[in-house]
Amino acid sequence: MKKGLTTILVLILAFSLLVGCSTTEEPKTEETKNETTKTEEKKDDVKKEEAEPVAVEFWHGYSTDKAEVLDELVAKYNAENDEVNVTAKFVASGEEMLQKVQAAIMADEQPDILWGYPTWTGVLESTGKLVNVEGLMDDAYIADIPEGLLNAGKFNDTIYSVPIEAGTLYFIYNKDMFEEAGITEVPTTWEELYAIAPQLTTDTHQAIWLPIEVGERTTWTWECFLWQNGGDILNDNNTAVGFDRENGLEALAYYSQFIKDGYAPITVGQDPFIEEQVAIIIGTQGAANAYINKYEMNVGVAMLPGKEQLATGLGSNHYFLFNNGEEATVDAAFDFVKWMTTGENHAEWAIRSGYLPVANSARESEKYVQFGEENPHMIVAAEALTHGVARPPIEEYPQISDLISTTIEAIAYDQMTPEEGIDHIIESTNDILK
Amino acid sequence: MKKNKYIGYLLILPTYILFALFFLIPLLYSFKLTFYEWNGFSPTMEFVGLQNYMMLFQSQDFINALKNTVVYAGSTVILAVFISLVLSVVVQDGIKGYQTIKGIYFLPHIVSLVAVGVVWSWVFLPNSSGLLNAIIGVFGLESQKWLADPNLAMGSLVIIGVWKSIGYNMVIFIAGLLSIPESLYEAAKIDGATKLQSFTKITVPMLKPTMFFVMVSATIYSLFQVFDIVNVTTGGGPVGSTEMLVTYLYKVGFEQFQIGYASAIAFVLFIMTALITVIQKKFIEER
Repeated sequence: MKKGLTTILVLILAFSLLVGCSTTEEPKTEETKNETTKTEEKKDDVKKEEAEPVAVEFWHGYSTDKAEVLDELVAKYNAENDEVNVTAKFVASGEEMLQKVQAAIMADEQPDILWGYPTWTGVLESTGKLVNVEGLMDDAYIADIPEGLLNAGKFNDTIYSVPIEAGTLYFIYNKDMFEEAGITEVPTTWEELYAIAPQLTTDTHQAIWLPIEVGERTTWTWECFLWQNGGDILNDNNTAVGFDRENGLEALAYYSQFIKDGYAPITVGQDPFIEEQVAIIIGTQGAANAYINKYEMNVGVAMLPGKEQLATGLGSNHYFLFNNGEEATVDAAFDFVKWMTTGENHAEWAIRSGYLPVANSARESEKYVQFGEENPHMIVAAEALTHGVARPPIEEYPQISDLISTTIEAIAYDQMTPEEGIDHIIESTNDILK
Repeated sequence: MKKNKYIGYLLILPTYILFALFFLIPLLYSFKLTFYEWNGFSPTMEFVGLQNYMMLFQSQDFINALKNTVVYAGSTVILAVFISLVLSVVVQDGIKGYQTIKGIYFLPHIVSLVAVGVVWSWVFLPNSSGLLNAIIGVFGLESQKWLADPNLAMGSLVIIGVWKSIGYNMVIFIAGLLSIPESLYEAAKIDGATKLQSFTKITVPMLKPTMFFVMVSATIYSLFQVFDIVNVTTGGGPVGSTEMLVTYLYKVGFEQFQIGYASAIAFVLFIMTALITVIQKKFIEER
């Protein structure tokens, strides 16, 4: 009796599991007939709901404080636009977002708007689901965004994403250490920077932090020197390196010389600037904001020194639009993007999020001008932005970035000379791009 | 009798279905990907045959990661197993309050690896504010760069790995020790055996199955779980001295979008783990 009962139970369990996994069509029973009737009723409802607002799903990775500001702005947009309903969702921060989107794309469940980095453009474009936003932009909108920022969202000569926030690298220096060293002028050329380095190096601190850890921060900082020396990472077609050997070598040798001469530390603690391990760091306006307002340090900011030209790293976060089959949704999504990235709304977002505004209309708005008067370090950053150069938004860039940072690290640890390093970068980059 | 046999199969069927869905199919799919070039996003994949495997063995980065992985896993497993075996015997052999001691040793095992990594990076801070440098400074020794020194970084990671796994190994060893009949030790004592002789002639042979389990789990743990610690503390640096197969795999797969190549690394890691397990089994059986 017991054995019989066990057999029946096991069969029920196995059968229910198989049925659960099955996708085959079931014969229509009375119940399924009722379901069909319900579906037909739903179709009628859909017709009635045609006047309902267009739903736009927006995935972002903002921290809680920024997400609260965003939610306020989204609510304001929804209140001003009855025909659209934008829903903003925190999904993941930083690079983790890309993994979430990857899974969503595989399941065809991607959002309508995605917040992310322009370096993702290449891989996202390969899905065939990304909207060519260039086709949606009018001349006035294009004229409102600086060219460097628009180029950051370009892939194969087409704009696939819209910048929402910008950040730029500049000098952040400890005014007290400058005063102690008797330095009154901030260096504006490579020679001047190298000349003050010995004065800023003491038993307790060194002149400048030039990162040598493996990662994008090292590469991005070095790229500033390369751009200042008239080179670029890649050529216009992204098919080979965009600098000649001498330019690259000078930038690499200059960078590593500070470490070799003991003016820059090879290892640092949690934050070498807060810990007063260095007098200067190359950071963004976000870092300057924290040092000034949160840590109440006596901090000055300035444009990076130039050589052949003035240049600095331009960082931006972008909005990507996915085509989910509904033209009305794409149009509504772009309308929201335009609302967020221009004029007073964008100025409010930039002020409250701590990023630099991307649109001229926001930067020149009354709100932002007044904010700039109270926060001059933001205005210096905004001015530096006009010399900003974007990194190539291609699929291979992370590989190239890794290659550059590991080479710089090897030079710093005397495992390579700058000459060997530049040859390695040129040869390996060209191999990657083949 | 036959009926009972079928019921057994039916009872394990749900587990096998789940195993197939979440382990076997992804494993086979990952193996298939090793023959393709794919960025993980594009709807199309390009068949490249054995190119990913050829690239693998020509890549200095892969060889370096493989070498580091072998050094890390070998050192961590040997040290962790040896130390935990000795500690288990000592702790279990008449120390008062050994349950509490066991609990203290076990604590690192249940702490998140990311948290462990953050705490240890403070311990190993390269300047004088680092805990370890402060300790060695008391003895007049010079500050070291630890995780930032290519010659010391691997050793520092091994210390973290050993510290993390001792407690778990001890719990298993103590369970094994308790299963050895006391009468064997009493008989040895009557025959005049010393403590060391009892340990080598009774404890070690009787612990063979436990030892096998601990070594296999410690190897797998050190091969795969090292990802979190490396990611938080060194990021694979300095100069690639702590780059492991799992961190290299993550980098090429999820940061550089070379899914086919990353799958080939994963497959090599799978073969490596299987081989090590077989070798350990043979070695322990022979002894």
